[in-house]
Amino acid sequence: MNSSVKNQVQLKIWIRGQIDPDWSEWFSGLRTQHSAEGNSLLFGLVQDQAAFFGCLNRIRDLGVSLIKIEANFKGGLC
Amino acid sequence: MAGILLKVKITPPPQPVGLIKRTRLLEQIEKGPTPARGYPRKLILISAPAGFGKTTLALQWAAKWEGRTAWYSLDERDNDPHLFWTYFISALQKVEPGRGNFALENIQAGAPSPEFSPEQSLLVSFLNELLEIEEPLFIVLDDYHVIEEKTIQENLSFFIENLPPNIQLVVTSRADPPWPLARWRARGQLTEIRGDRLRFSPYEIKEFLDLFGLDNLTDEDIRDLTRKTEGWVTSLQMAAHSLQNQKDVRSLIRNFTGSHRHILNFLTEEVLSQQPPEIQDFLLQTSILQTLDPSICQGVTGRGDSQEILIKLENQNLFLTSIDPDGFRYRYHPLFAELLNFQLASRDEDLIPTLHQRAAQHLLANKEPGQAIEHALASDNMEWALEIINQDPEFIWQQEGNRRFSGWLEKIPSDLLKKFPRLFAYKALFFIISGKLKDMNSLMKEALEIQIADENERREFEGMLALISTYLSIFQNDTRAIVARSREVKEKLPPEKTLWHSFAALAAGDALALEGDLNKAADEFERAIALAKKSGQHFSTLLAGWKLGNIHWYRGRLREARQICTEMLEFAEKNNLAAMPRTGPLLALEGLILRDQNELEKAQENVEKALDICKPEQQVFAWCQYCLVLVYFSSGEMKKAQEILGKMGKIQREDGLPAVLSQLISTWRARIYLEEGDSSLARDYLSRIISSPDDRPSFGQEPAYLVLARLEMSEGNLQTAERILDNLENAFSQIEARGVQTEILLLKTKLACRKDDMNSAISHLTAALNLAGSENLIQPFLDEGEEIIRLLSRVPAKRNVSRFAARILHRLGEKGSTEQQKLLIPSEVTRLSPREMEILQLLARGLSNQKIAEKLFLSVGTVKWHISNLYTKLLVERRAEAIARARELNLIKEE
Repeated sequence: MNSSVKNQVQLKIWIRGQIDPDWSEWFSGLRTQHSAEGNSLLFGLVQDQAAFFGCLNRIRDLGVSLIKIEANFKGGLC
Repeated sequence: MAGILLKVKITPPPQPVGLIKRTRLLEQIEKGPTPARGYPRKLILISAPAGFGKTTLALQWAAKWEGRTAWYSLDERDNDPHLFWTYFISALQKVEPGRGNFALENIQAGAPSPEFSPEQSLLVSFLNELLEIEEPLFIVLDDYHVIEEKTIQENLSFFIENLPPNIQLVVTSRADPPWPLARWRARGQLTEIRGDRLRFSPYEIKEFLDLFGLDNLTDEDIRDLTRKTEGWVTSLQMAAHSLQNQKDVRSLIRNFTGSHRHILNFLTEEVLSQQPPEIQDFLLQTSILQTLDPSICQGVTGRGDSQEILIKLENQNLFLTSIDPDGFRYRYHPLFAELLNFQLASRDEDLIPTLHQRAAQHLLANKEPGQAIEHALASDNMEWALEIINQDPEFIWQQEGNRRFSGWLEKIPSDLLKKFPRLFAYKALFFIISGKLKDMNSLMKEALEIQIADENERREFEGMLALISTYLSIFQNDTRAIVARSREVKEKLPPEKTLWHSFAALAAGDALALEGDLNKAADEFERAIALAKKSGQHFSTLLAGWKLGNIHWYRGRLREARQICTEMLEFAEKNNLAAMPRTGPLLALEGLILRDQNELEKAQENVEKALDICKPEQQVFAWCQYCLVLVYFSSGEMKKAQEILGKMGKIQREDGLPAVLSQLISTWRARIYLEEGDSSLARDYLSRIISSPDDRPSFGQEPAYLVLARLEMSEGNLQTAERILDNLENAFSQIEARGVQTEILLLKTKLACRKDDMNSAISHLTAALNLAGSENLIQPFLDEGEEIIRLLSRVPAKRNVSRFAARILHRLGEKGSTEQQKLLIPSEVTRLSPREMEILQLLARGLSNQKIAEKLFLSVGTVKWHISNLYTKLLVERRAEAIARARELNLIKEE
């Protein structure tokens, strides 16, 4: 298996408030989906665990409130 | 390193206008938790997401303690222990001038070195200095979350753990630092202000909006705003901006409280859209900058009125804060900058590289290559970034620190980096020094493929690669290769690359010393000293100085060894490094020299001082412990010596020690067990080093072979002992090693005594005296004990040799133990001639030389000659001493 695929992380992040679809590329290319209660879901694949942590940092640095995270690490650490 | 300190980083930014005083929070900090008994408060942690007003709160705390607060604003660049501690101490010095100078100078002395991390001892000495501070002092670290470097995290954790009671750290961070917070919390040492407490209450929101002239809002409006903004100050601030210019405030509030859009998303657009188009452009374009000043803004936006715009933005309180009370330097509120950046990307993405390019050009013209490199990289022009670095890599390395410098090089794809061979070599150097050996082979292979047309450039590159190969050979323990590669460095690398040359000289010296080529090793260490001095590397200077001194000592050139110690200790003193672990070994070495000259008390004093200094550095500490073992042994303190050996063994097991030192531990264990009569244990220890007594002793193993010879002799295996000694003598015939050679001769003397071959014994002893006399190497004779001491007085009166023998005996009479002194008496007294006895009696009656001469019908010269002999035999130097000693020995016939 290609190593770049092997290490990908399946990610779902629920956050408070609705963010515009064009913010997507700021969150490592995750797609956005608005929920009925006025929150957003960011979802998709990120490259590896480093990208995952980068994504979390970005959320932190934009002051976005987290509701829930679901991440599936199939590959190793890098 | 850290040549230019940015003063703004260690100055509290001016308080922004329109600020709500957070009295409630300040009181909470003031009160804090009650620390458990015996624990001082240590840390005020303000931990919350971006935009919650952490910095503002810290600033209000700082204002409350004006004059007693040190301020340090962190950014990503500070992820370098060098830079971090330089700024940290400089910040402190703005409040406590001169405090921590010692640590600061030491940090600078360690630079530039790829493996630098401040030694714990440095922090200890810094903390000790802080202990003297009597008034409360606060040190603010703003934006601590940017720190990722493990060394800094650990350093600070240790630092906080040991903070003196009058000092507290105030840390703002978006994430909890990796420190033992739970422990500090449990002890009541931690005051925490977290996101929840930082939220504005409805009352504070009202107060805040009043400041913006929004005093006509209803309670319902305030409630809506509170709910929507969740008391988050940045969104409140943006809301206030949007509301300020609105005629229909109510409908706007309803609009954004009703919408589900993320509030910042919504508000940034609101705030931006209220600005005229040219200001919007200005805001967006300058959002790529970390710090803003009129000239760089003009460089990036092309606007000549940048200064006016900046002032206007500041007055409008538009998320632009001044960071410099004395000039026009600003930064955007970090969250606002993020949002602007985002807006820029969505509105005009293609412009971004151009903006970075302009910023880089501007910074380059203003001689700020470090920041220029960052922008060049951000403009997607890696090649340009490399060109900037390539102009003066050493300078950039020193300015920017290891982490950034190596980080840049690692980021660049190999193929591009190959166009800059010199930088490729730097990358390899960082790889090998940080121990990434796995990747070295492929890296070296790539390096060898690089073609360079220019002759000079090629030689330089080859010289640099040779240093890297030198290091590789060190890891492979290939001493021959080390020497060969380092010679290549010397030949090919231009002389002005002193840093690289000094690394090579040190490596070559080590290798040559291991091979036993002491002359050449000494030459290399001398070169290393000169080169390290030239490139300002104080630590390397001391290291090379110690190595050179050690070689002199081993060769038995005690005077030269002493001289280099003195010189280096003065150097350390001058550069304020005297209390550093790296100075310790020099003190201990001086102790070894003193021991050789039988100044045992002074020797012990020196070594103990050295141990005190070296404590934080296990490896050096162990070497100093070895010195103490030798001193204890010579002082007859066998138990203490064993105890120290036990401690060394523990370090060896837990942290590992160089092979040479581990072997010395076993050797000295054996030597002491033998001395105490346990030859089977002694043999046990020696068998770890020597498999057969007939093996040719390799360089460095000779101490073990010498003990083995003693052991065989003690068990009556005289032939084996003799073979070992002969082998050693052969092996060392071409090496200058006075200490070892003297010991071989003394053991041969003893061996001859055992065989009742007194002629050979005296001749070996004479040879030993001859060898040791010129450098006053006394201790080896005394360490041998009774047998040798008795023989010393039987050495024939060949001038130099017998004088040295007399000096040893004299020393013994003066400083020896009572047991040793007893040895002297019978032999000496029996040897007083009748004439000398006669003169002694007259001396005791107080007669002058003239009177004695007259009385005995001798010339004055002859009397003087007899008296001089008398002195030698009585081990004294003056007339009064001779009389006193003669009385002690009952040699004076009282009338």
